[in-house]
Amino acid sequence: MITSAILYLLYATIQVIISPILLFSDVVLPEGIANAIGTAGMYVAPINIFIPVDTLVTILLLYLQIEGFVGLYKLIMWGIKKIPTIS
Amino acid sequence: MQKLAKVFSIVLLIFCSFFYIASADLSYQIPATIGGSGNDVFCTTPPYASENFGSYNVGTTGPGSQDLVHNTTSGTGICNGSFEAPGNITGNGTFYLTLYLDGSWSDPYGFIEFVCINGGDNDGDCSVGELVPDVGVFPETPDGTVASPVEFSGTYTNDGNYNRLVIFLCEVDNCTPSTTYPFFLDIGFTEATEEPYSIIEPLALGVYQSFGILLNTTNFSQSDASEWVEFTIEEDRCETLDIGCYFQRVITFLFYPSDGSLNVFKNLYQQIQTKPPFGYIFAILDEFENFDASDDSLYEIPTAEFLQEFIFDDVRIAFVWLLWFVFAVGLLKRFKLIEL
Repeated sequence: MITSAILYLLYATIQVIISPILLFSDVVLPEGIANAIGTAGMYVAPINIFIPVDTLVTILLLYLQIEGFVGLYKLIMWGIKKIPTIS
Repeated sequence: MQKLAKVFSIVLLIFCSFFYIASADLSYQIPATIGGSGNDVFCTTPPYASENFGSYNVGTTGPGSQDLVHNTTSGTGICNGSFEAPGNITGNGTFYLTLYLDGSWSDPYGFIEFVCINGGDNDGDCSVGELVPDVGVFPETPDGTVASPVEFSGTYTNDGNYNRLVIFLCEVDNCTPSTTYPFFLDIGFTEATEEPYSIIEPLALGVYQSFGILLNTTNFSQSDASEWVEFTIEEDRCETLDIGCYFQRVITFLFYPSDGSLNVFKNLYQQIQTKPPFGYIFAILDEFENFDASDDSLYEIPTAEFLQEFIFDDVRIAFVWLLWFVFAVGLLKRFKLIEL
């Protein structure tokens, strides 16, 4: 009950903070960008025979995800430190 | 005296609260449908089912119970596929059925038929009546698609001991399965005295099993995609004067987060994923997941075949290993220097 209440309180706080964002309509990626990424594979395909571009892309995405998690962790810790008596 | 009464009231309140919490059923509720007779006990597991769209999901319980029987030939010769309730159905009762469908059912509309089959000699008659909706055609929504989930209920009368309730699934026009039937079936039989859809029973002890079976596109035969999921329902009430258990329940009640309180964050994450500015990042990442460098080439680099086979292929493999090694080293350095 106590943990749930804290979680609901946290949820409500976050919800209030991001409520302006939620008013926006859903994101639809412009067709041009989607096509560009799709077509890029066809351009890169011949090079992929010599240089493993697909591996490079996978590694890049992994790196971005890790950096994203690190950033999120920092953000959460920054928020926690704002609570009084927690340094 | 007044002070003593106050103290007594507080102690009594705490005592009552303690025992109320201790005796409350705090266990994870698995919707269970219990009915039929003997071993005809079904336990549905919606989380499993929802993640396995395209199969039907039926649970049985207890030793000696029988699985839902699948027949590739029907008793009437009308339809090719049927599902048969396990065990014997005795007495009169109500059955219910929930079908979860996807758009594949939109045309032609599916047809479902409930038939009670006489089990053999010396058995009484059985029949199905009061089917709701009263026709077996799946109802369609105003936009022409089939509503899902579709809930059916009906009653059956039975004077015999070995009669079987059979559900046929087929197309409207020719009643011959010729298309894929993506659904999972959630079926249960209730006692005659119970109302359909109100059969969430207190959990019974025992090991429940659920399984999903993907249907073959032509003859409803069972594929190999079945997966068994076993879970045990543990005792959810404390023994009398089991103080340790009482404390455990109280601590669980106070500090164990509910599923709902955790799920709100999941919903929040899903909301953020679709809204700007974060939504664009997720959308681009999604697109990059479709990036395929081995796709059809727009142009070709002329290369001697033997060079490709004996040099470039090996060099490429070396490159892949090298890239992953560099990534691993980079990752290690990144975490060594990370400032949290």
